[in-house]
Amino acid sequence: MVLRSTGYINHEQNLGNGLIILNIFEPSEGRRVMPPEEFYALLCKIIPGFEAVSCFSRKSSSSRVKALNKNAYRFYILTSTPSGISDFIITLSKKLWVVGPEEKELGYIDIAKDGTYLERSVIDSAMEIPYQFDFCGDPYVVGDIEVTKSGVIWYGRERALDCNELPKMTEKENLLYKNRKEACVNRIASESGRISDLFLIKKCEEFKFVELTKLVNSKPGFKITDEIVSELEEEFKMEDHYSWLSDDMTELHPAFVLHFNDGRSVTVADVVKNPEAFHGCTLADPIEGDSNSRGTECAIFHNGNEGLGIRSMRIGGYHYSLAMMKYVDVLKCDLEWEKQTPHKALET
Amino acid sequence: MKNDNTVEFTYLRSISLLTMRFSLKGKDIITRAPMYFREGIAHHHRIDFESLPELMDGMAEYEAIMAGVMSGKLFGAPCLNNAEYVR
Repeated sequence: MVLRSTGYINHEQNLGNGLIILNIFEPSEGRRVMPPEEFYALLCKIIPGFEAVSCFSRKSSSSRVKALNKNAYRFYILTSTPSGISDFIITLSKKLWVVGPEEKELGYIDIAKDGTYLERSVIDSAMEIPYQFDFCGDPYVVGDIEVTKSGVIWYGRERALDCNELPKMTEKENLLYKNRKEACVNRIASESGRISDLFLIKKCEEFKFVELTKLVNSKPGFKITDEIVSELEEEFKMEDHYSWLSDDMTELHPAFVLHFNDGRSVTVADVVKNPEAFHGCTLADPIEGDSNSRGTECAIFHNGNEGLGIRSMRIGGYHYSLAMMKYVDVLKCDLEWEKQTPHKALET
Repeated sequence: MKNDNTVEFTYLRSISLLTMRFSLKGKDIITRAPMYFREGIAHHHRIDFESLPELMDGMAEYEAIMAGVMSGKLFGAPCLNNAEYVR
């Protein structure tokens, strides 16, 4: 048996030729997809001798649905040094930030629906993960939807690429990469703040709705008062304030509402109370999805060692952990601990 | 440097649908993202690079490839997601 992890599926144990899969995805609104021929010309500019390297491009699944009018595609390159694939993709992603004039923006920062920054380039750097799926099959269509051919275009056909042929980032390029990223963030900082505020308001409203619905359903004749509403708002603010984020993982606080495919909208605290009731259920991505787009890309799973989590297809693979305790309960525990062991509390 | 034109990768057949699903709602096309992968059978593939597009064109909605390879060149090994294994 093998697991989908780098311990079992990786590039290092490939003693033959390997496959570099570059995902040229559909960028956010206002940006165009670089056509494959143009992307190939760019690779030839960045990598000396690339003209002879065996490679081809092929439309992505959604681009084959004619009416969607999408242009995303994959670029497949034969390589003689599979162990260098991950570094190759990461370095290429950075090179794209510095290879052209700033206004062409081959690297850019997107704003997620919660206002956080997402570093992007023409290629999806998540493909550096050796067990990342590439769904090559025909798109699965229901009804009278026209599907076009895969549109394979061959470029070079002579030899495999040595990943070391891609020049490393120079000191000058690293500085330019850093400066361009900073400039990009500065340009969109106010918009990011605005989106972040809107996201918080939306999540707070969802929390109030879920909690009030529970109260109304559990107590016949229950009346919603301004006091109860403002108590819930305070609770949300307190929990939200103490949640934390990292680049590749987000911890969702107990008052965060999740929208499951089967119609349930519940808080993280509800899931933590009864995880088995939700194990394996699909749900909207906690950040990119909403109650109107249930079923977008997620699954929740039960993990004995790392707590509860949600694995999402967002940004080519993203992990959310669930906070196990409400902040007010953490405070209560701290107070209790201090009462029982006052000398230890003083020492710390 | 290997001087042949073959390529090695992992080919996976899942027990459930993997690719995006597109359906009609009136005149609009509704897109549903890929389902969560739970379990499948993984195969080590070594083929001529020139024949890779043909292989891809013949793949079904519950099949995918991964650029990484398995140790010991396993053929037909059950493949699980980490979370399912822990459970």
